[in-house]
Amino acid sequence: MAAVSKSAFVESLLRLEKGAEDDIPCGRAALETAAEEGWLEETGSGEELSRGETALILHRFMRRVLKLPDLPDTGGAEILRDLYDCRVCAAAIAQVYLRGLLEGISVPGISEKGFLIFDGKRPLSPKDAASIPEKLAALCLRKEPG
Amino acid sequence: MNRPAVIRDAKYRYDGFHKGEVFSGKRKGRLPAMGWNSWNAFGSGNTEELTKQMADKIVELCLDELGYEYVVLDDGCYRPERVDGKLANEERKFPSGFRALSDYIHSKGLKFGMYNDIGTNLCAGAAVGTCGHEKTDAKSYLEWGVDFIKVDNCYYLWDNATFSAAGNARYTYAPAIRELQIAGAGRTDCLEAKDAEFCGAGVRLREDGCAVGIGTFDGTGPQHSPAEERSGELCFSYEAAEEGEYAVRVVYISGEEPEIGSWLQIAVGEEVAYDELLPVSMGLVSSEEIRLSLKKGTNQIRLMNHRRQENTLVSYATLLEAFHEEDPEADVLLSICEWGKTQPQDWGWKVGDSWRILNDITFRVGADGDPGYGSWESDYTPGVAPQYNKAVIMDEFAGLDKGWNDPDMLMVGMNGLDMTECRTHFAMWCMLNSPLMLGLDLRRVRKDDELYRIIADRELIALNQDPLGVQAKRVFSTLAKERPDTEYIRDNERVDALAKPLADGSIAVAFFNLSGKEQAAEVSVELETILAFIGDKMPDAEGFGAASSYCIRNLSDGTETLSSGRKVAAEGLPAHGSKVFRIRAV
Repeated sequence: MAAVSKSAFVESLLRLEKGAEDDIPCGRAALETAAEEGWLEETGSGEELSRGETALILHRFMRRVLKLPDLPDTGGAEILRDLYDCRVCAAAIAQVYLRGLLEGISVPGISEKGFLIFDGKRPLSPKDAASIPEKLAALCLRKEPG
Repeated sequence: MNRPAVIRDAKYRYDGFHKGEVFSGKRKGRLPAMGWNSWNAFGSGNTEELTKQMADKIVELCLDELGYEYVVLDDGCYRPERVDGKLANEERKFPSGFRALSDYIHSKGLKFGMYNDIGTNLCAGAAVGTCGHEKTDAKSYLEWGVDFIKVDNCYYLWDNATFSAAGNARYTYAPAIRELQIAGAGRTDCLEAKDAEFCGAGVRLREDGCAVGIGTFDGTGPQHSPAEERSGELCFSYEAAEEGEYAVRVVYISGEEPEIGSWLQIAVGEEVAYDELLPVSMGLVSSEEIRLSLKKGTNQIRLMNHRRQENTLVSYATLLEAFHEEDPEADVLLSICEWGKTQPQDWGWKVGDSWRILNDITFRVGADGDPGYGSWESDYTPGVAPQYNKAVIMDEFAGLDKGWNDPDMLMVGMNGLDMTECRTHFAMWCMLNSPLMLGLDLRRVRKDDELYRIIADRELIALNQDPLGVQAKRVFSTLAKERPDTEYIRDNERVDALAKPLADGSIAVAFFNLSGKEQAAEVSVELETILAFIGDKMPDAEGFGAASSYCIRNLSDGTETLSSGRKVAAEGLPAHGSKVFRIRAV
């Protein structure tokens, strides 16, 4: 599967933030812009984007740029068997999962018991990467609980 | 570094965990640490400026006079890579460097703490873990004037810790063992696993006749009681016809998953004769010949793997010893943060001043302008109740000559907990002799507001800091069957009563309503019950018990009553509420 690069993903979020008509920073400039806006913290320095890093980026983007508050009840995310494996991204994973931005993954031996995994180390798929901006735009249009 | 350390000194061994020797540099006699830690308050978003403001607030609010002294930088303060092999400050967030910040904190009469990890990376990802850099890092920390170091366990090389390779489980469990072949004194014997003694806990026999689960089980989650056996061994009792060297082969299947690893230890009694990674096997294989020295008569041959605990102790000890070598007079408190994974209550006292007992109390930490979120309970570790439920039966592991169980930092002030819950949370942590690490943005606190009255409660803090240094014991629970002090109860629909002996001869008794419903009816515990549980730790249990009356001070409202009765009672406990009493003989 082709890897999704961090800069390409960040560019797609910047297009959502700044509008398609504006000059959107590309490549390294996109990453620098995102870092300045504070939504690249705690993601690794590698270019290939993992699902865990995606969750971190999206969570910060939702809060800081889109001003979406966290969903207060994250119990529904505990269906993800590996939710707490990543202590720094558990909260982010819970939010992106509950908001439908990234789905859980079925795994034999686990899914039969009613669980899924998130698999934060797995690379973000191009299909997921392509669908996220549209899902985020839809979130912004919906009325959110206070 | 491509394999765990070779262990030659028995001080690192599992069999020495109960022996009262601490490592050089470990100081005894410390009461639980008190201070502020950046993680729950600001997560990775902590900065030099925020930290200085927190130090200012500790002094402004007179929290330093109550004992809060450590100001601890948690994760997120370093550059993501070392500079010339050394730790370096993240320049945007900590522009003046750590020495300047340390000097500032010391100028306030406070103490400076930092954070690192025994793995290769910190939990938030920076490639600056102390693994292999202990001497260099100890030097840096001492140059910066560090008084406290919290050390995490992510990216650890020898266990399947957070972000570590899952296959590291090969180090932490013995292989699946089918049989032991022993040749010597003119005969060969074949001892099958099914006929062995399964010592400790966790070992089980599979349908193929192999014993698995030989190791120490993972304590990060709340599933297992800390008061029961935490490791398992396969033990053979072998009658040797004569003293001498015997050739042993183990028939095994290797693995790299929980319960089935590849690292095998063989001991005869307490003498470890073999301690190695076995070759990977595809199916059942026989090991190379291993030589064991046996005495004539009965020999206890133990097939085991205690490396999960031993390796982690080696790693923490390496850092402690690096500090000690750099400066034998250095007084740096070591806060062990491996989340209870390796059952640190067994060995942590040898090197550390406190040990985390579970995974985090919250994963929804705050940021500048965001208090974060804490909850009362969950099915996993986030929550006041899961942490309390484990810590409350771990009192016998703690003490002034050892260190303290650490149910993680305080969530007082976070969204998700009301003031009753915050107060109960604080009272619990005081009774449990937990470190008291504030995790809120102190700029939100005003002197004498509700948050302040909780975190500055002198009388509760006095229990935590009582010089006798004894963690409270649970002496009653509405859900305990026989042993309220050791039963691991996770059903929160209950009320617990804890008792704590104090240095001046008095006792503290606390009632905690874990339930989300008010407990209107009276809950009581007899003085005789309390004395039966904690009398051996009291300065004068006999004198206390023989008193004709008692002054009972309610620490919640300051009222005192004189009673000649022989019980302590509480009624009208609100949901998640508490009442704490200090009782002295009159």
